Amino acid sequence: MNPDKYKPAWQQYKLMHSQLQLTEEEVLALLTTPKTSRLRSLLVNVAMLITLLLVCY
Amino acid sequence: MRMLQQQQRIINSLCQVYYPEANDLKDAQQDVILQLWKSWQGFKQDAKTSTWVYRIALNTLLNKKRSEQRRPVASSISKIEDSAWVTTAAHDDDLQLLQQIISWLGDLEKALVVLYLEGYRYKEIAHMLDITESNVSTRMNRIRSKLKQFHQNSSHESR
Repeated sequence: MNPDKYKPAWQQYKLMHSQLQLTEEEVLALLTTPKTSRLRSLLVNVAMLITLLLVCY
Repeated sequence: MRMLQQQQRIINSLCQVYYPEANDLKDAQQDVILQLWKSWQGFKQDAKTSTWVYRIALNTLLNKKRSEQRRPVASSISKIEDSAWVTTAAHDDDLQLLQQIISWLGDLEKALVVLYLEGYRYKEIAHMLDITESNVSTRMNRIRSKLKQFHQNSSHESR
């Protein structure tokens, strides 16, 4: 099976996602705002710690 | 800044390959853009900018995936998201098949296929992903076998 068959499909895939162009302001915002995933994992860790403390208690 | 905007098509496509779900996609984009921003000063312009972007972006995404796999909860969520990608309907048959195939592959295999489809040679792929050329060749052969299996399975299902 030759993957070359999918070369045009990959170009089409890239084209499909080129519509989501970020503006200069959006790129700057991405570089300066704290990540939501970090906040999410911090909350999960805090919740786990509280559960652990309650179980131990 | 202009470079980041010019290479958006590559950044978006790669992030979409690994993180099809909207929230994670944004996180991944942020990680990749941040890494490109940090690494830009060290870029010696000895390669094409797009090649450099592929290298930094794919390594950032692979590292992100690896660190998530160490956390079982995050990895199970990302598996659900991966399968959700399959259901994202594409109009073109080959495009839809490509999406299904990529979602079926492992993280490193995804990177290999993307770079191969982009027209890079094994030597270049090896350099970009920091693995040996023979490793690339072996893995590409395995991917070809997997593709064969995938096509056999899908043709059985369609009967």
